[in-house]
Amino acid sequence: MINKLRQNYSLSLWIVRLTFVATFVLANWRQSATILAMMMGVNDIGIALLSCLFSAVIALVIYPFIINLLLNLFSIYCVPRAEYVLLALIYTALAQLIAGVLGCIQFFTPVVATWGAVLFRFVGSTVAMILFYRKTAELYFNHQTRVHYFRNVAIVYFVLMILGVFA
Amino acid sequence: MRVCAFILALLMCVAAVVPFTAVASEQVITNKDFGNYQTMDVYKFVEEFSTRFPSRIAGTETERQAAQYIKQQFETILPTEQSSVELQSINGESYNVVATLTSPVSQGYRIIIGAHYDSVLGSEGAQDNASGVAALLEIAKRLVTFDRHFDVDIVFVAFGSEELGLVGSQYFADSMSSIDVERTLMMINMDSIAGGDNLYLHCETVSNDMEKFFIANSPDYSELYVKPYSNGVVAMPSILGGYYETLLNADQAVFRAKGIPTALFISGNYSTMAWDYIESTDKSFCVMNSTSDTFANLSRRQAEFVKKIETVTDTIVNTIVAEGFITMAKNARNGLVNLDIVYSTRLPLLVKLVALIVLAVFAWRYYKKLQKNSYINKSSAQGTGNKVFVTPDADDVFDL
Repeated sequence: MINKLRQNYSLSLWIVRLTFVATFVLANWRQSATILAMMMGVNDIGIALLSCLFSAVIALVIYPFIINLLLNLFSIYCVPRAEYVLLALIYTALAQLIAGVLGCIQFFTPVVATWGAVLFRFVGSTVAMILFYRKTAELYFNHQTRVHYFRNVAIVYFVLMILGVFA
Repeated sequence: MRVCAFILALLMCVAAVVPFTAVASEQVITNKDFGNYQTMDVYKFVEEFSTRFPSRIAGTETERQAAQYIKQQFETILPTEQSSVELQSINGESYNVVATLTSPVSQGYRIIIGAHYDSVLGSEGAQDNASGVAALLEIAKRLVTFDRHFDVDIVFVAFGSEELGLVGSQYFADSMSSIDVERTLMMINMDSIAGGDNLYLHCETVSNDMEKFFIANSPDYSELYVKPYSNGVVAMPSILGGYYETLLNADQAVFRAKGIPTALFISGNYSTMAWDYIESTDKSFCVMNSTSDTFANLSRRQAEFVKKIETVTDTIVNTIVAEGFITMAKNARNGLVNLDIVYSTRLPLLVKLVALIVLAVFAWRYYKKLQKNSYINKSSAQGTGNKVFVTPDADDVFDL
């Protein structure tokens, strides 16, 4: 199955896109519902899911531009861009999946409502970023170029995490 | 002769029983007949208040007139020698109506019973919250009929500007001195108590007996539910101090933030598949903060809405006069969970920062290791040339 997918970029891309959208909704539907309820007084789970879906599609459109911008910014030209973006989408979906699954804990024991909002995404993002770095470093970078790549990935990661801290 | 004797005996039996069935002024209410609900004071108040003062928007003349009306009601109900009634100006734009019923045996303790009286634009605010104000006045009326002195002073507050974001209650809470905060054992809030499907009570739960105490003192005719655990309750494991209910975004929240135990009466529905509170499974009764919140719409509930207001009134009155109320209230104060642990993001952000620092240390060490490897293993600065996706074989091109 994996070999088949490796030979069919188009199919793989669509599967990854759908997975990204699904995990985005899983990770963010609660936030979406809260914002709708507080800002617009709308208390409808269907509308919250739809708005989350809409946001997911927008994120999906913007994502490749951001990845390409970062690759250009860090002067990384030795990677196949389309593949790299696809891998980034896969691991972002993984981060969202982890955050979304952890978020479901609140239905059974809503102990960590505030802690979860801060830490679940952090955990998901960290795990996904580490795995993403390992995969891409192994695929596209040798001992010489890996140093530069790791430094730039680390910069992006810590900037995003710190912005999340103070946001 | 026998017939006369029989009638006389019957009359004597009735005469013997009647004094015990007559409602004394001090009797705790356990049952009521709602057959003539339209003659009941709470029904008349909600009708009068919501139709006479529609659109009681914070800071407007209508809101001010509504405040004056409530003040007059309190002045009529409360005895002058034991009480005071005043309008508390909220920065000159809106008003809280504050009525205090003092007790000579209160030992300095007090409880606050509140309900906001303002509404949103275009709304008569019958459900939200003429119903709460009706209960507030009815509680005052009931309490002054008791001959004995209470163990606490009672402060009745009709809050203004709640719809602007709990402005009135926040102003009142902020104006309390530290002594006032210390002597306030409890704050009871009533918001939108009549129009939702069911009547709920939110209190501190596991950590103290407040909720059980209220429920035990609710009248027999009532259907008063506690908020289900699974619906948005934030709880801390007992090792960290016990469980407590989430703070709904209503006037009691500002008092809870000051370390005062709170009870909120609210009508709605937690029994559906919705993940959160809804007013009713019937959309025509979902009227909060809308122009559909009218007396005409609320009165479609018929006796049910009056019953809910009376349930709240009788529960609160019965609880205040019940044996053990002071002990329960003091325990409630001592049993509060530190809100900072749960609601504040400071601690989780601190944990995140510490984790980031630890990760940064590991990242730095890994970076140094990579640098060392790059000196040892000289390679080209080109890429590896590896790819995830490969060209499909000719016969696999259309094979999905």
